[in-house]
Amino acid sequence: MIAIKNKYTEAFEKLKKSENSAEAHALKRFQKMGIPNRKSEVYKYSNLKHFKNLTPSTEGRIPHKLPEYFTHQYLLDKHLLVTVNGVFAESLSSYEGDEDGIHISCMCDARKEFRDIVESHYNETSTEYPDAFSEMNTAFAQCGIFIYATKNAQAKKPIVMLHLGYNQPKDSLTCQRNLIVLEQNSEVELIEDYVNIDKEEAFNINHFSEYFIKQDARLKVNIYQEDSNQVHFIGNKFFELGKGSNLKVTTLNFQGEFIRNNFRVNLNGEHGEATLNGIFINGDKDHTDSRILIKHNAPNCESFQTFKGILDDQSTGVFNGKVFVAEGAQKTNAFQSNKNILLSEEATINTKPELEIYADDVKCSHGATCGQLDENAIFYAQTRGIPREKAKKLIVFAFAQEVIQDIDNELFKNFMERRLVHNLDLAEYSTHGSVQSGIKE
Amino acid sequence: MLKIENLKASIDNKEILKGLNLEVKPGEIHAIMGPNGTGKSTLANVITGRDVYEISDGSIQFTNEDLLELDPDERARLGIFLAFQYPVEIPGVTTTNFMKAAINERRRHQDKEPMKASEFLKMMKEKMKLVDIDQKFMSRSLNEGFSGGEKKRNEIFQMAMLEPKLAILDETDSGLDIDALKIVSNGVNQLRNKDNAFIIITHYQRLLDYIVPDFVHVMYDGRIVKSGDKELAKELEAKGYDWIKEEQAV
Ligand SMILES: Nc1ncnc2c1ncn2[C@@H]1O[C@H](COP(=O)(O)OP(=O)(O)OP(=O)(O)O)[C@@H](O)[C@H]1O
Ligand SMILES: [Mg+2]
Repeated sequence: MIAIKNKYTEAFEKLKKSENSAEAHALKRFQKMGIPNRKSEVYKYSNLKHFKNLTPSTEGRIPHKLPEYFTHQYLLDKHLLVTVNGVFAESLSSYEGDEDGIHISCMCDARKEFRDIVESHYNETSTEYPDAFSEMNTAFAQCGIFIYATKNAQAKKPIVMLHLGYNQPKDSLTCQRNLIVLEQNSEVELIEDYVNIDKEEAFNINHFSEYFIKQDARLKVNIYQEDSNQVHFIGNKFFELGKGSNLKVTTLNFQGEFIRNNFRVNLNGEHGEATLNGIFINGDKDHTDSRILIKHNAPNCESFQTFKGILDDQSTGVFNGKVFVAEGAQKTNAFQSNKNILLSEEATINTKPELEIYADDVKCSHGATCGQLDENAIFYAQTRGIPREKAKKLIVFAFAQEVIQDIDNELFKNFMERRLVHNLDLAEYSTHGSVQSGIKE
Repeated sequence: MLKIENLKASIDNKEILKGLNLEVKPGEIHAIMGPNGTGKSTLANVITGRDVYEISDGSIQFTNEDLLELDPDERARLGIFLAFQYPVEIPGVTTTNFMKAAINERRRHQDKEPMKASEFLKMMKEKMKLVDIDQKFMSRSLNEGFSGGEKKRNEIFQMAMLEPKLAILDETDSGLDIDALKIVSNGVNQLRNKDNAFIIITHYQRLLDYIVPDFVHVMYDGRIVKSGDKELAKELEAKGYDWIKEEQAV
C-alpha cells in the first residue's frame, strides 16, 4: 500500500505543484480510492490489474518529428488538433485560433487567457460521482485541448482531435485532459481519433474530457479508435447539457485490447436531447466496456442510446447503460438499446440496461439482445449464391451499419463504412456507390 | 434438368417427405398444389439445401450434379433459385447491395471480374421495370418493413436479376393483389424460355390462368400422389382435396 502511494507521490513531486493546489487535493482523493479492484461494482467486469503497474507520465515533451502519418486525412476541410502522449502539439496541428467565434488553444494557455471560463468549468463535473481515474487525471493532467465556442458561434469545419501515442515508456500512463465549453446557441462538431503510431508499443491512456453545452447549443462528437494492439484506455467523458441543447456522441471501437468508456450525461434544462450511439468489433482477447449514465434532471428531455457489439474469438464486452429520471423530470423520453452478436462460442458479453425513475409521467424503454447470427438470414443469402462465411459477414456488416449510418458527417460516415469493410474483411463488397472522393487513405 | 427419386426427408425424427419423385425438364413449368402441411415448402427447402432436414433416402440430380452433396450457395450458383414463401428480412442490407454481392459472387466463381457499376445499374433498371418495382425499395433494408406483396415482388425481382435455370416459387401468389399477380406472372412469362424451368407451388388455380403450367402435381402427405395437366388444377379448385385424401386412404 505504502509503495503504491509512493509511486504516485514521487511522480507528483516532479510536477512541482503546491500542497494546496487542486491537483494535490485530487491526488489525495485518488490515493484514498486507489485503482479499483474486482470488488468495485463500477469496474466489476473490467480487470484493471494492468493499470496498477503504470505510473502517470509527467513528461510534457513533444517529439519534434513524427514518422509520416497520413492514414487519417479523411476530412479535407477541418481544424486539426494533435496531441502527442496527451500534450497538445501546436507544431503538428493546423487550425485557425479564433475562427467563427470558436477559440482553440492548449489548456495551459487557456488557464491564462480564459481564466474565468476555465475556473468556472474545469473539473466541475467530477464531484458528483468521484472516479479514481478522473481524480488521477486531475492530479496528473497533461496540457490538453481547450475549445470554447462563444455565444451563437457556428464552427464551419469539424474539429478533429488526433490523439497520438508515441514512444511511451511501457509502464507510463498518459493523463490526457480536455475542456470543451459551448456557449448559448453555438454549434461544434468534434472528431476524436486515437492512434498509436507504432502499434506494438505501449498505449496507456487515462482520458478525461468535460463538455459543457449551454442553452440551445449543439455538439456532435465522433470518437474513433482502431486496431491498437497495445491500447489500454480508460475514458471519462462527462457532459453537462443546458436547456434546449443537443448532444450526439458516436463511439466506434475496432479491435482495441482494453477499452473502458465512461459516459455521463446530465440533462439539466428542459428540452435537452442526448443521443449516444456506439459500436465495437472485438476479436482475439479484446475487451470493450461501456458504462453510461444519463441523468434526466429536468422535465421534457429526451435521451437515446443505441450500443452494439460484435464479438469474435475469446473477446469480451460489457454494456452498462443507466437512465436516471430525477423527481420532477416529467415527460421524460428515454430509449435504450443494446444489441450484440457473438460470432464465437468463447466470446462473452455482459449487458445490463438499467432504469431508475423518480417521476411518474415518463416514457422509458430499454432492451438488450445477444445472440448468434440468424440462420434464416444466412440461408436466404446462400440461396442467392453467397457463401456461408460471406453471408455472415454481410449480415454483421449490416448490423453495424445501423450505427454508422446514423453519423451525420457524410465524409466521416463513408470513411467509417470503409473501416467497417476492412475490419470485417469484406473488401470485395466495398464497391458501394456511396464511397466519395475527398477521402484519402 | 432436375430429377428427384424416392426422396425421404425428416426433421426432429418426423418424416415429412416420404418417397417423393419428380422430374423437370428444360422449358417446363410444373405446378405443385396440395393441402397445408403436406411438405411443399419442405421440398423447396431440401432442393435448395437447407441443412435442418435429414435426408434418409433418395437422390436429387440437377444437370448431372448430385445436389445433396452441395452447399446451398453452390446449388444457387448452379442456377437454382427459391422465391421464399416467407422472405427473410435482413436489416441494414439493401436490396441493391444484396444483389451486387450475389451477382459478383457468381462471377467470382466463374473467374470473372466484378460487374461494372454502370452495367449493374443498367441491369437493375431493366429488371425493376420487368416487375414494376420502385427504385425506393432498392435502397431500403432488404424486406424490412415491406408489405407482404412487396416482399413477394422483391423475390421475383431477385429472380429476374439472377436468371436461374430452375426457379422454385413457393406461394409467391399468396398475398398479392390482382394487379401484382399479373405483374409477377408477366415477369415469369417473360423470363421463361426453352432452357429454364419453373416449379410453382400454389394454393390457387387463379395464378395458373396467368402462368400456364405444363404439369400440375398434387402433393399429399410427403408424396406426389397425382399428376396431370392444367385441368387438374381446375378440378382441385372445384372439388377440394377430399377426394384425393379418400383415394389415398384406400
Ligand atoms: N423446422 C421444422 N420443425 C418442425 N416441423 C417442421 C419444420 N418445418 C416444417 N415442419 C413440419 O413439416 C410439415 C410440412 O411443412 P411444410 O412447410 O413443408 O408444408 P407446406 O406443404 O409448405 O404447407 P403450406 O401449404 O401451409 O405452406 C408440417 O407439418 C410442418 O409443421
Ligand atoms: Mg409452404
